[in-house]
Amino acid sequence: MESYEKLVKIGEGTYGTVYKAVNHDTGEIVALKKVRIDDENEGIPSFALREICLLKELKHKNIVMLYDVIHGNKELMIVFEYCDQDLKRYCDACQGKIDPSIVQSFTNQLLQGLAYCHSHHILHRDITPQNILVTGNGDIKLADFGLARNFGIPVKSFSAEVVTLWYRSPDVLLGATLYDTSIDIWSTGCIFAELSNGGQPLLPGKDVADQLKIIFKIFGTPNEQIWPGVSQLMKDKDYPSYNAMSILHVVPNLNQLGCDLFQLMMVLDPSKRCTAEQALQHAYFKGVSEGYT
Amino acid sequence: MAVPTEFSGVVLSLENTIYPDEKLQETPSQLDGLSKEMETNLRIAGCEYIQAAGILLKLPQVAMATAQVLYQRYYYSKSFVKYNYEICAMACIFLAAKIEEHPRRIRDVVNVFYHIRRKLNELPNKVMDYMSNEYFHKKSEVIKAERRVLKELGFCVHVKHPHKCIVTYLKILECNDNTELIQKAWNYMNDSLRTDVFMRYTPETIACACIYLSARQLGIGLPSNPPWYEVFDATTKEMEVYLLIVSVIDSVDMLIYQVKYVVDIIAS
Ligand SMILES: Nc1ncnc2c1ncn2[C@@H]1O[C@H](COP(=O)(O)OP(=O)(O)OP(=O)(O)O)[C@@H](O)[C@H]1O
Repeated sequence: MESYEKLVKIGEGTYGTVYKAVNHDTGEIVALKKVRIDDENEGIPSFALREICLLKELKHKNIVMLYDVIHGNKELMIVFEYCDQDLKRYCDACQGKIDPSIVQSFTNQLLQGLAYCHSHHILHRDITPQNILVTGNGDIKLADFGLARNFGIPVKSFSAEVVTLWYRSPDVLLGATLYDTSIDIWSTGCIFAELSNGGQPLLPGKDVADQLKIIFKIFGTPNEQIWPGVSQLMKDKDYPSYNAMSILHVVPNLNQLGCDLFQLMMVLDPSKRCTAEQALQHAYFKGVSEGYT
Repeated sequence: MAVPTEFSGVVLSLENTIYPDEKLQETPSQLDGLSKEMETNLRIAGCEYIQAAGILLKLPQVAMATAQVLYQRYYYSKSFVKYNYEICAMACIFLAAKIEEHPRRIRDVVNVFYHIRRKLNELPNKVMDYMSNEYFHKKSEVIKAERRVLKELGFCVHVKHPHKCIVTYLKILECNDNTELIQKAWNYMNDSLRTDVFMRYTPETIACACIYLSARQLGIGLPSNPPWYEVFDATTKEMEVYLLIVSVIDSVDMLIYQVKYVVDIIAS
């Protein structure tokens, strides 16, 4: 039996505490996610269960590796590969300036991880800077698959409360119950902009209504012409009508190709949003470097 | 602080849903002296329990399908003699409901099985006493069983179902308007969950076999030169499909004689 020794606490999530730890048998540094199990109650928490069984199937350089699971009666320990920090902390440390080549590299790696998930019929559903990890070499790893789900079998409706508000796509905000890989692309587009703006969140809404307002202010209020079916989703509320802003004001630090890609990812109509695979083919990524090299 | 030793490390094996023949022949239960016939009965009975419980818990069919596959797989590692089939069936449906994003409270799972058991024993309806020792005992047994199933299967509990393949294949074969064919193939698929075909064949192959059988029964001709199913799965050898079909028919026959009554009783 391998034994892990906790070194320091590195993160606190909604359902668990994450520690930096060392594997005494191998000397390897790992991340330990500790989840409390109340045996009096409902057994293994379903988000932890789904995170484990989905990560078991995903082996990719841009997805955090699952090493082991230690399933006790009082707690569940999930052992992951260790990464230095999450993208939020990375951005905070950059103090408002992120090199364009880093923006390009991180976005590219993020999309590679996502394209891999999507090709395995898995939606992440909670892409946020806290759930994206950065290694010391500048490798990006997608983490926290607690909300992820497999869409291999046709599903009628997913729960609407997915994705942290700021990264939630307009269709989900408007209450669409059917959604697909396009929701992850929206979140990734938000992060792309956030990186290029030096770590400034693009759409920091206070609540659902405010979030939609901010989105419409930037991308224009949708109508039937640009998004067939949207009037049905918008019928219960009045939304002010905005014209789309010039993209140059939204992501001023991106070059023209970057702006173009950003717009393809941020199409309001989810069916017209580009896929991760298409985004990776975009000319913006020509000559992209991996990590900090 | 080191992690206390009460924890058991789980070996994360690579996904391997197809078992070799030896593993299917020499089961732990038979090594413990259980007859093959008795084992088959317990497998079918457990699956019927899961199906009936799933209906009462208002779970989607995919949750029952997942639970049945987990149940079957578990008893290729563990013996029916040592691990109670009813508790395991409860743990599997409890687990599958979580995996398929329709979690149910353990209390409801325990209660539904209690209800089914009373029905089978022709006892009058009664609500389970949630304060009783019996209830506390059952509940903790189920949670322990849940942990055992996860450990035994190395957390490989994500089941790929052929339901979707059936739909896709019928579309390609331009038969997706034939509701009778779809329904029949779907039924074969659900019936085949009671057998070990999910341990023997890929979902793609099972989907082909279900379509093959249904089309044959309804007298619908499908391209045979080359055989249509080779298009869907290069490894689908004719022999595999044939074997599979036989085993599905066998199990369906067996079902008709033996265990359909569980669901019938519940429905009545
Ligand atoms: N492998 C890892 N290496 C380094 N840090 C990690 C690792 N995994 C998680 N963390 C840190 O711990 C934090 C919480 O982890 P995680 O998001 O997985 O937990 P959670 O309980 O699912 O949180 P939430 O669902 O609220 O986002 C992350 O934001 C990150 O800072």
